[in-house]
Amino acid sequence: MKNKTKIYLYSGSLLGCLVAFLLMSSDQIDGNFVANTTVDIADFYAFEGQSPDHTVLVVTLQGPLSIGSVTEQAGFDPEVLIEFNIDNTGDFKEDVVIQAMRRDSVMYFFGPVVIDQEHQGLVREVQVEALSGQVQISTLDSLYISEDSALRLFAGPRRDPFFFDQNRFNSMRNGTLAPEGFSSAAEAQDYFAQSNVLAVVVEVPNDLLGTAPAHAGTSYGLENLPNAYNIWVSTKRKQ
Amino acid sequence: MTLKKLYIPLVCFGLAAILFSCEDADDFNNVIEQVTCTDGIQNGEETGIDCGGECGPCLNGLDFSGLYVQEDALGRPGINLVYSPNAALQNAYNHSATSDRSSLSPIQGMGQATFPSVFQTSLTDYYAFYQDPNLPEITFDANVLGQDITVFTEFLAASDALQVAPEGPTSFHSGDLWFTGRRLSDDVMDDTLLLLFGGPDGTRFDGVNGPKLISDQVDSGDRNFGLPFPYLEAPLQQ
Repeated sequence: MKNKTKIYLYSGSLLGCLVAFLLMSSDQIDGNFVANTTVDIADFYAFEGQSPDHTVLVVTLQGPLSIGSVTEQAGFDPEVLIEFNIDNTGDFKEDVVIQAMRRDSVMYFFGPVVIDQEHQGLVREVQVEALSGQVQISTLDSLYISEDSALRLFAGPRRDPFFFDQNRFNSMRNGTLAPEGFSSAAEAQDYFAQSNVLAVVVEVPNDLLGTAPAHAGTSYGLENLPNAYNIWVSTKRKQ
Repeated sequence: MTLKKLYIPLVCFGLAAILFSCEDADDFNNVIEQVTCTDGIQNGEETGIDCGGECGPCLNGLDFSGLYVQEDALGRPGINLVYSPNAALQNAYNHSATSDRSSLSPIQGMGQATFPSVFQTSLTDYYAFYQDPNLPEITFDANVLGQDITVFTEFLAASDALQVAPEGPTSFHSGDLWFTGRRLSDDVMDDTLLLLFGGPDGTRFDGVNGPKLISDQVDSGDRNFGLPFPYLEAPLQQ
């Protein structure tokens, strides 16, 4: 956490243009306007941690990144606020957030912190008074994790955990290319098998997230489900 | 002595008390009995004012000011990918608040369209594409959750978050249990396809009768999901 090497790799150089070209060349899982940008969220995972009273929140960004120079040159954007939004009342408005934001080679974390009603929604400030931890951003060769606070923290490149025959699905969606549907197991191809992503991982004690509400599925015909938070991730760009 | 004359010494005494109590920790007259992380001074083992040491980390003068506006958002896997039919709608979805996606919330700039209505159209289009012209019309009947098209698309749009249970197992789908989290190993796209094409018993469009739509036939391959924190594998290198 003491090295603060500046790694601004997007600074208008020819190298930057090459990176942009390579990124534009890759397919994306997300909406066309955000695909291939530093706000692009690839995936979101949430599961019980090694301690059963903790929840692990994982967001992957800017994926899929090709192995090699594309991964090496990818970086978290210091103008982009990464947020885990937790609804603990069942109205799908964020009651608690955990924020992550890069400065130099460190990812800073804020929260879990309560967001009052008038500050819920699409526009946010960094909750600086709720600074809760920081971690050196990992590299291809070095893993840094922080366990200094109530949270366990990680930020950096990882192998993409997502698996899907994306190309086949696109063919199916786009018309007559796949009348038989998906391929056989022998022919199916995991589009993400040889890819990396940028990831932010937070392991948080559940008692910092409030009490979970009745499961949202109970309003849509599902039964016998345990109480559950509603959690989503967002990226917000500085105006 | 009049009451008015009493005020002056009282005010002076009050001011003195305030000034005295604000003195720094280094002063032998210090009245702060306990070092806290909210006393407004650097004391104890703090490395800055009320930070470092026993307190939280220090900002070190870094600037986090400004307003940040949402450009992307994600709850359940693949919702926008599978159900928003074009870039404009995907963009509108990413820029909308999670609480503004029900059939009661028209999409900004798109008339009376709502995300559930858009999703219904997408779903119907998928079925129309796989319609055999020689067979009776196929429609979304219900899914394995017992939801009809109206309830299903409302569920997809209006509650688009991961439901995460703090007690008990967390998975996207495991046996009869749905939506208590999302593990790295969960085959969420097969689950998404199952809800879309599997019908009430989960076997419709299984490739035996008609096209194979309920599984992409891809699994997690050689990935290792049994790792300690941060749980994700090291990045692949050449």
